[in-house]
Amino acid sequence: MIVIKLAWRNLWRNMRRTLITISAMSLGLSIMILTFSLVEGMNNQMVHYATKLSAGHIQIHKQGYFESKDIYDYITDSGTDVIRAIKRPGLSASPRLFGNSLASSGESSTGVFLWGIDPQQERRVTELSSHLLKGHFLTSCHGKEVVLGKMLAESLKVDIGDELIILTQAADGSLGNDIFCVCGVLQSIGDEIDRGAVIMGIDELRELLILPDKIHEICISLAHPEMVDVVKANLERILKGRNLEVLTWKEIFPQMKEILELNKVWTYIMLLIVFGLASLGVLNTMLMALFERIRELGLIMALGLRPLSVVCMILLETLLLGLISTIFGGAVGISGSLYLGAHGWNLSGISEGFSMSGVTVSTIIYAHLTMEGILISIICMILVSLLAAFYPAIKACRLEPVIALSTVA
Amino acid sequence: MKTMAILMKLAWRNLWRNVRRTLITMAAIGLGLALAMVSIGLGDGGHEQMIESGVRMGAGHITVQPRGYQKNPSNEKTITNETPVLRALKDIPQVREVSLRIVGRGLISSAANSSGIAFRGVDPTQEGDKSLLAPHVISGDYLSVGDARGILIGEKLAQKLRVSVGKRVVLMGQDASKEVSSSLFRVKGIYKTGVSDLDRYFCVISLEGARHFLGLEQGVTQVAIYLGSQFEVEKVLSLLRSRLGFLPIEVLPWQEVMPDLLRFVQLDDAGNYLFLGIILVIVALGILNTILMSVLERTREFGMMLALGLSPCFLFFTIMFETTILALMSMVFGGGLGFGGHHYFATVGLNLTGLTAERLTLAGTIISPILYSHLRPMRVVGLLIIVFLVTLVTGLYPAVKASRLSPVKAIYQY
Repeated sequence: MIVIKLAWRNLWRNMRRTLITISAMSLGLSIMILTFSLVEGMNNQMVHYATKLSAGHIQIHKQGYFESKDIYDYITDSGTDVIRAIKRPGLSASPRLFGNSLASSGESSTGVFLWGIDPQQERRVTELSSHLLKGHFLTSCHGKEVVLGKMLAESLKVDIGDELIILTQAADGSLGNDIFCVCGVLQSIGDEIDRGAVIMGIDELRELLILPDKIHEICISLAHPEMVDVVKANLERILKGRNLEVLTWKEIFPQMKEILELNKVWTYIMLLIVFGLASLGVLNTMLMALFERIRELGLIMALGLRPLSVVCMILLETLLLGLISTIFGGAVGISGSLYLGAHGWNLSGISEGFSMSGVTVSTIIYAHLTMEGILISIICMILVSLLAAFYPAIKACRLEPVIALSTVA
Repeated sequence: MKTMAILMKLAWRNLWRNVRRTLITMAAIGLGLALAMVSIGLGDGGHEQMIESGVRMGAGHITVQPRGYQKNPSNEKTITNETPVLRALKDIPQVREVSLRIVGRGLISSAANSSGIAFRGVDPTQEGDKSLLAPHVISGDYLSVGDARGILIGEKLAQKLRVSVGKRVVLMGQDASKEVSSSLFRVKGIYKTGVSDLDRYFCVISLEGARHFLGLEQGVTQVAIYLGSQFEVEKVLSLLRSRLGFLPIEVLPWQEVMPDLLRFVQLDDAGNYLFLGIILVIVALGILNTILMSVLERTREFGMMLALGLSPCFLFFTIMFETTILALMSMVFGGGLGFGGHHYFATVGLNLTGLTAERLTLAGTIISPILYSHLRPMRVVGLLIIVFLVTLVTGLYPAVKASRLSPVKAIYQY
């Protein structure tokens, strides 16, 4: 008990020094909490773009379609059978049909990827319909309207209301073509969609490709995305023997996992650097605090304080420094993260978005505060500072009382 | 002069009164500086590698193309006669390589499937274009002279189309007269880079094949110019613009052709600077603490000196001198350490292959799995100046504090 009291009083003997050390540690801590939240937020946004804005959480295809993208690898009967079989609360499913074509605007032409969707059901699975740059989303499975990816609209030089000629090879080998009207342009999502997606009503695409009642994909979104692997195993059991393949978004974007991990690794490297430098400050402070007290330490040791208690006292001082810094740094870091979580950190002044392995990184980063980020930062800071205080502490307990007493500070 | 000598001597001795403290402070400043040097080196080196790879995959350090092509790329825009461009490039020493190309997009089909692609018509003997994909060919061969009908496609595209070497594919697109045209090609080779954007989307044909497809007699759509170094772009650019101003073409640097890449580099730079700023502040707080404490423990001594007639100004400079010496020594130590780290990463490189199985792309370019550090002298000089100034500024407060001491009060202090 007396050791705690001693440690606390020692800390405030030199208020200025203690405050400067605390501010260095608090700054480090708050920066780390913010970094963790921002990286988590950025990772979440990328996952969000990959799942809720394109692939969904789980996809079901005919066995082999995902590898081959062969338009003859379809699911028959509009997949109603499958959709009924997998129906359960917390799971929404939507059918999709795909094709390839040449899109021409008169000005220019390019190869594109056609998406046939059911707008009503798609709305329940993805947020594509609200991720528009301009115009409006499709309203029904019919109608000669299309929504385009951002870069595609730019390179074809088309705007809302312009005509687009779609020329494609249908399933029976004949050439099909039709004229569509551009009704909407999507915001940036990822390279593939931005550069080549033409989204239309599923019935229109069936007509164009002559694939009546066929679909290529059942796109599924989950109310609890963290359950994705369990749900996948479940679905696989239910759909056994139907020659279908169930894939999670992690399998659809294999590079995603690596990017997320890479981002985490950089955060940990930064953690080491920031706290490493902050701990040099702690080391210096504690060493100075030790040297100016050599005589005094000699005295209390001569009076019977055991060396172990001296070690405890110095480590306690450091721990107190760490705890006070935790309060200040934690408060700043957490409130900063909450603020950036609510308002976002807008980097569009510096730069517009770019893509990372095909998935767009948005320029407005919303921080996402996690308990993990806070705890790792705090524990790391305290551990590193205790480590730094070890040297002064060992030095102090090795003092010879007689020699220490005769030292002039 | 004599005062100066005394001042220096005092400062030097003061610094070594507490060897351990001085060394720890030096370590903090030095480590901060070394970290900054390594991180700037790796950041710049990484960016330069990305730009090189982007430029190599894309349209050169400088791109010459038909006027208006960047804003509105379409297959009917061509440079009908490339001779004046080539002539203008001839005597520019920085130009290392020139590649004539016809680029465009279309739909490729086989009996099984079809897919939207980008194609590039090249001269098969052009080494730069060859070196991009020829090493990655996994079956068949790279195009050779006279392969008017040959096409090189990526592995993922070959899978999707279910074709192998020797099989026929049809390329469909808008030709120069805005009509839809189609041409038959034979798969000459299949490549695999591991970058799915390329393997799925990018095809190479010969210039002749591309001309035939677009219905062109002659001409190209793009002249890609490669320079010896990416830092010479501006010089060559202005020279070329003045020489080629009379032609209906545009001469663009990579920054305008690949704005995505430029944006990423800028954003990443901003992030790095922010990080360095934070490191600097943490280090500065450490320095402040050391100097302030060393001043406070000498209050009595300073009081004595002031009482003996030392001018406050002199005292101020003594402490500033101390800080300067501390800063200079730390910079030598940190600079050496940082340079060593830089040298290691410049020769051995930072190997990221353990972290990533597949090759990642960023802003459309491949991230090299091994990062090599590159430090430009200007960056180092800038960094050293900043560290020096920050150290001096942190020394100001303790120095001012000491010079304002009242001798009488100071002497009574322990």
